[in-house]
Amino acid sequence: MDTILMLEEVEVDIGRLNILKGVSLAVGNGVTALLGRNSAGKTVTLNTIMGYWPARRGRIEFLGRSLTGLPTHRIARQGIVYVPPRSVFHTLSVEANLSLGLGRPAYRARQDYVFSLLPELQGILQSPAGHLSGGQQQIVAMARALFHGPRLLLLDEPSRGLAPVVIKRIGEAIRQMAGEMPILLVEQNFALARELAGDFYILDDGRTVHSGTMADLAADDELKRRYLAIA
Amino acid sequence: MSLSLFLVIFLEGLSTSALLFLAAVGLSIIFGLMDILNFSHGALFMSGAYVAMTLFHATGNFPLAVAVGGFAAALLGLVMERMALRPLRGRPLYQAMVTVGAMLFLNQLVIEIWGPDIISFPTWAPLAGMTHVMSQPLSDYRVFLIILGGVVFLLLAAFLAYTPWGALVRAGVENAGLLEASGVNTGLLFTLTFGLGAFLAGVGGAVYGPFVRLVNPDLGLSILIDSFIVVVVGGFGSFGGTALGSLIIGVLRAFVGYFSPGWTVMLDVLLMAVVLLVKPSGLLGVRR
Repeated sequence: MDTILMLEEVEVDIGRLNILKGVSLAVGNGVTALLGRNSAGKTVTLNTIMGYWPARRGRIEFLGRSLTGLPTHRIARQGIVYVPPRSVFHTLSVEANLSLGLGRPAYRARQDYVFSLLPELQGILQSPAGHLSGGQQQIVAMARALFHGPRLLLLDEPSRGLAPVVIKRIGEAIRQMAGEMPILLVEQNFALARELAGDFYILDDGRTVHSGTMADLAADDELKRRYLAIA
Repeated sequence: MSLSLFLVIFLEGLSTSALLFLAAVGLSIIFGLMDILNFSHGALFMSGAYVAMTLFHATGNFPLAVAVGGFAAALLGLVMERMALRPLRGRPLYQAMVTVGAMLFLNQLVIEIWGPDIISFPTWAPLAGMTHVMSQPLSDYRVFLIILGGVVFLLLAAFLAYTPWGALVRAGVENAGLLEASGVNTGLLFTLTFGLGAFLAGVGGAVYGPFVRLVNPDLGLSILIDSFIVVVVGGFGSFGGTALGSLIIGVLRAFVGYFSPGWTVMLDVLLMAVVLLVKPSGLLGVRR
């Protein structure tokens, strides 16, 4: 597997608390799932990759180059796009959300590609993003990422708070996107993660405690019970 | 009360609203976007007033004096943001303390340069006359302030609604971290927006001078308190809220001042207390 993103023994303090105590993972093509219970450190791991929190120790490398110490916007410009759950700017229209930080030409150039992947955008371009349903907001959040031509997508709980039928559509969209770019997926919905991901990492209390293929994990009830509280 | 008197008091209030809006809008946007409570905002306002006063005495050209007053405040704001605030990004308490320091520094600087006494700032002759609204007198300068406030409001509203920079400001007020993650260098956005807020404060100070016909070194603090009241009532970070807050307080002051001048300050504080009790985020503010 070609490693696109690599974390090695990353430690992060927030205030006086040592939140990440040793996170290691490698992301290659396809979808890699980052799993674990609440407050295991999954979102903090994504935030650390984006440079919101400085890593106290360890290495973070993207396409062989270190990201440590770079400001967030520089990390984003290398092609890593972070999508928190339903992350839209509520007061802006959908179109303004999508074109934010892009020039007109760049927006035009990617329009057809993004709309072909997420056709439901076409009818809602002028709506304020704050008025959309949760599922629509998640679609807009992912579309915003696609307009930036990501070389790696960090998806944080795309299913959070959504109805099952909506989750199904979001899952389809992610599968399509995964054909185009590697994705690191944080997900509490195990069924969705199993359906999408090839490899997995499990975090527990700020540490990587297990990794392997999703198929192995699905068969390992003991592991699921211990770290994911599901059987 | 006759209708004409009512109208004139309303217009007088509106001219106060225009000044409050110029003073407060930068404070509000800067807080919304950068989480910085800028205690030096009144001092920037005052700097604009003093620079404009000096230039007006030297040249007699009021439009030039106002523009230069605005740019002087903007320059001070830009320098402060780049040198003192940016290194402390993410530490709002430290940044607030830096702005307190900047306020004290600018106040003392004004005293060093211009002295502690009141200096007159006469009204520019073309705006010094009187007009009549339904036979009630209203000064031309108040009409000028209303027009200026309205034009600045419309320009800013259009800027926020229709320009790419405006969209970035709105997005940044909502979630600066997410904006960073979209590859936007918010550092540059912050600096420019801080400069814009300071510019508006400087213009506000420049046109405030002739309104009271003087400048003095206490100007900064009193306008800072007024601005805080406006922004608390309207909602920190909300552009529309700042406009609404200025409108309410300006007009309210005019009416209360007409009947019993001593009550205006009390009423401001009372209004603020009620808003804080009923809707702590301010009239049009969004809970953050």
